[in-house]
Amino acid sequence: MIAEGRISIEMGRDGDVRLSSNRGVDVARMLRGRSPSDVLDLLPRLFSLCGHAHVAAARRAMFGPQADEMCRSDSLMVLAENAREHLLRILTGWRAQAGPTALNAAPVMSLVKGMKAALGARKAEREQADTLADILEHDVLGARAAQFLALDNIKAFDGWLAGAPTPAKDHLSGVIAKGWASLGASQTHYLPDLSENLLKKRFSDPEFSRYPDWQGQPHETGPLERQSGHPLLVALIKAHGAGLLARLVARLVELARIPEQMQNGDCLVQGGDGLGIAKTARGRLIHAVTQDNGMIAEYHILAPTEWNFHPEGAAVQALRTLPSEADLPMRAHALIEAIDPCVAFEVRVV
Amino acid sequence: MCLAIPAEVVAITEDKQTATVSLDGVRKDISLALLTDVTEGDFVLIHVGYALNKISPEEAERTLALMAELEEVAS
Repeated sequence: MIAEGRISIEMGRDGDVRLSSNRGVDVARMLRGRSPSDVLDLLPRLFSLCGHAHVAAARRAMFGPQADEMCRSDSLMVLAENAREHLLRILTGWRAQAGPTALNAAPVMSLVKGMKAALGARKAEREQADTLADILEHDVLGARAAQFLALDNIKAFDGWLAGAPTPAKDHLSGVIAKGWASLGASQTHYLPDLSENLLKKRFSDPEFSRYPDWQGQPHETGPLERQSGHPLLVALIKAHGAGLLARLVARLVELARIPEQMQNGDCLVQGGDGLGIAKTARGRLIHAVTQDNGMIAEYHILAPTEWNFHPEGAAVQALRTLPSEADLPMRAHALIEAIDPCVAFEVRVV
Repeated sequence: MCLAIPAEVVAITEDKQTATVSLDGVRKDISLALLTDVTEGDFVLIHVGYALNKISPEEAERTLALMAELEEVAS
């Protein structure tokens, strides 16, 4: 039986939280002994969700500077994939709670295919960025992305929230009305820029790609890590802590930035010489490769969920702040969905 | 790793919102909220309870074979 993988979280009445993860099999092991072009062919078939991010990271890790000429198109595909993933969270998670006001799924599901068809034709690429900007304006933000990104204080945020309604705004208002804005607020350690030499050395420890730490400490990667310096998030974190509201708004800030990033067409994949780092919707995706005579000798993949859902990581730290009340499972679900594990999860109160 | 797994649609509810899929002979209900035009016999990629896209039977077969190989490597 092929397993999608699952995260199990046990919440004790004493406030302790235990997380165990069965995230399926180690894909990297089956890449050993293959050629780099085989790897580029296999990855998108296995990882159909964020296949372009895997390809981008793999290309950088396997081909180093030779991957430069593909970096623009790889980055555009990763951005389209990220936009779809963020919008899917909103479609399937936020909307369901906000009521039946349907956010139309078809344009969201076409974003990746649309960008793929547009690659290489600058005008068509820009049109894809415009398509995304329109989806954001009409179905999510109720404003142009630039207007949303200009919000830089709580008063302006409240004004935006009170304006033209969207399912996403309804969801945020619901979170605030329930008193959940600071839900799960805890001291989180954002993953810093990683020294490439040190990172490569860390992969010699087989545990590193399952239970990663940096300088002895689990770290968080993803929208909150990347956007916490935005003025609106600075204000929200000051007012409510790095809790549920900050996490949800960080996703919106990140989404709102994507159309412009697409217009710029910059190379967003980092690494080289055996290492590739792509910024996916859920955080940094790292591939580390060594080759022997043009074939893969060692391959390691470190996905963002392993940081965020580390047994002592950001999700667990956030869950440990929850009071043991009757609606504990609901609060836990809201937080876990906001941090976004990418696999099914179950919460048990024991 | 988050894998999306191919599965065959064996039944669809009247409101077209839910499908029963067969995964290695195990039946499972999934949401069709993200897709239109799915019919019985189609192959779809499923992820955490949702059908994400339609794929061809050949593509589904290739991906499933690859995943079976993966299981073998892991065991």
